[in-house]
Amino acid sequence: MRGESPPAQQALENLSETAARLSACKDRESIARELLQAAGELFGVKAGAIYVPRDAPARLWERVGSLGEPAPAAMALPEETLRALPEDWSQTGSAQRLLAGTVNPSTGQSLAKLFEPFHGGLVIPLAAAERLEALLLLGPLAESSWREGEWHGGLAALAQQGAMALYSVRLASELQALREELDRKILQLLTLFEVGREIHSFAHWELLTKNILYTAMGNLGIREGALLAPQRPGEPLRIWHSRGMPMGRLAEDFHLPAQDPLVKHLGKVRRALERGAVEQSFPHNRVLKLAFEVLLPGISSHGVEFVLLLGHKLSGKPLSPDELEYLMILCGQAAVVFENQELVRRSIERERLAAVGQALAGLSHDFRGILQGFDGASRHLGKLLERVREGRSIDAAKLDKWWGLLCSSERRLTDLVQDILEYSKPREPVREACSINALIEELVRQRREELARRKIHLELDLAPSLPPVEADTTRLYRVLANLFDNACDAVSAGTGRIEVRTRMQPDAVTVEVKDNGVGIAPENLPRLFDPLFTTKKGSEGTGFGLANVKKIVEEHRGHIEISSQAGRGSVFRIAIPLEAASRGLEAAARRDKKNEKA
Amino acid sequence: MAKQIRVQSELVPAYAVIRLSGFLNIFAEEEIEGEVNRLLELHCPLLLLDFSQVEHIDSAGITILVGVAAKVGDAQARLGAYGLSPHYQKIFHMVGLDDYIAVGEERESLLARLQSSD
Repeated sequence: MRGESPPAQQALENLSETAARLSACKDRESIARELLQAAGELFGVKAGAIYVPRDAPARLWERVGSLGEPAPAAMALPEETLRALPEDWSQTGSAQRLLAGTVNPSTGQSLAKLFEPFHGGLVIPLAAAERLEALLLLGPLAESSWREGEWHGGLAALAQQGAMALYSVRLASELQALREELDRKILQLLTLFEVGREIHSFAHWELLTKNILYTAMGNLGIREGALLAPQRPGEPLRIWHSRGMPMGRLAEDFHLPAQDPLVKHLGKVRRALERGAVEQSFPHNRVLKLAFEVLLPGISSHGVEFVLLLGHKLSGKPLSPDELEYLMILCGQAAVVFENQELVRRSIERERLAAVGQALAGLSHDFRGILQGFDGASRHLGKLLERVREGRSIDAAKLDKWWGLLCSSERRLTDLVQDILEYSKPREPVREACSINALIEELVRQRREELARRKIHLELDLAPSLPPVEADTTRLYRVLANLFDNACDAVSAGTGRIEVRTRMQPDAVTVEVKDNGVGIAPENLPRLFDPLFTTKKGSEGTGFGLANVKKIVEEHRGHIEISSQAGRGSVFRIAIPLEAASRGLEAAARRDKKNEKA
Repeated sequence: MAKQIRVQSELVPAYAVIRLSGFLNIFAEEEIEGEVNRLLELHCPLLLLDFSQVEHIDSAGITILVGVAAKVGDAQARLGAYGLSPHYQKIFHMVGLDDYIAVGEERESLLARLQSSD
């Protein structure tokens, strides 16, 4: 190691330039290139290579750069060889000893021969922050490169610069990986939040299950997936959705019984199972016909609600334990939604059954009351007929009474059937121009006798300039009659008072029917418009009257309001929107014009 | 009412642009896949997805795009995307979608890049 050139000053300058170039490097490959180039220029080496550890502990090494003849791409070093890496690496020939133990990691064959260019050279550990970053392999140094004693310091400086550069790049790469991991975690948290917020809005089972599958897949970039779920709790799990997973005929026939050992196992372990584990523990399970990599159960308090099957990620990497944990949280959240949906479904079914039962009970009661009327009247009329046949006299008053009962029963039956039909069929009003005031006057004319008989005082306050409205006259009359008759029923004979008022409002025509009757108890107000709900005693009401009033008013795009005080009376107010009223004006104008022409 | 996507496409001889606007979520599947299938049946060799009017992409939307990328790949065609915000570019990268869909800032540069790699 003696020589004339380069002078120490020049060598230091070269080293300084190399340091600047190394610090600008962004990856291990460019660092290796710079280092080996510098080694060649400064120390005249003809062969060089840099290896970085591929695993920990560093048994496997991969080449990231070479000078001269390429050295093997990868090598395996026994741990003891590494430990024996001489502390004084400057001992020439160290490379020969160390590289003699290297083997090809794939075949296990010795690589010693391939490292022959490094015989008589050096293996220099590039370490920073107490960690071995790389191994720098150099062939024999040129004799004339450095003066005696100086080459060691120069090479140590170069190695230190290389180690620091590699350390910086690794740190930057680890920081980047951490940042990406953090981003991924944030995305997963956001997804969980999003799922928690939005998944509940998927009332439709198909959409809900599909969204769970797609969310799980999309969040981690998974190519294949399927969701198995039972149609009803306790039924076999079937394929509800699949994406990217080859299915063929399996999609239709595939099912896993709820008591399948794998399903029971998933319910017990409550965690994800990788394909290998399923193959080992359930080698004959039919789920293995599906191309999945991992199974995830969605478990609620009822057990396994669904099973998610996921395939490969786009990156080709397997799902990490963190990702599996995230998916289990997602599945747990979805399972709660499944459970809630089932509870809601049962609750709706119960309510529906209760409503049907209530409706049937109400109708039965109404029909029984009417039939009793028929029965009583026909029996008594039969007796009277018997007397006539026997030539005996009959009481005309009794005949009137029972005939009257028969007729009223028939009328009530007709009314009830009509009410049911009216309520059960949605229909568009047959619109024509009609005067609400005229309808009220007609109604009062019809009820005049009844009002006089019961000594009910009626006050009419009809707006004189009320325009005709475009409405279904027959059905609007039905509304007014119903409200009027209810008011009559509510007031007492002798002291009863009913006020009917019409008004033209800025946006509607209103009708108000006010009485000083018994009023409505506050607890009954919310159910007043429910079909079959009635506060009338016995079989006086069908329970469809106000339900139909509301329906007809709403079909006219109007609305109905009620205010009532128990014991003091009620006010019913309906409003037909002005839009309909103005169209009524136009309709009336068209009719007048037509009449004029005629 | 679920938030919906609108899909419009423009077909030129060498490529097609699929303009997406609105929300790319579970409800977008039929619309997007229908349009992609239609263009692939016309043997369109290059499809560009324009995300500049897309307001939101959720995880289900990413799954739909993964399926679209696979479909386009199976048909030996190529898929590009532009107009993605940095946030969604990052998500494409995180899930590995940018290995299957060439992502560019805007149409012309993406087109130039894809056509030069022919």
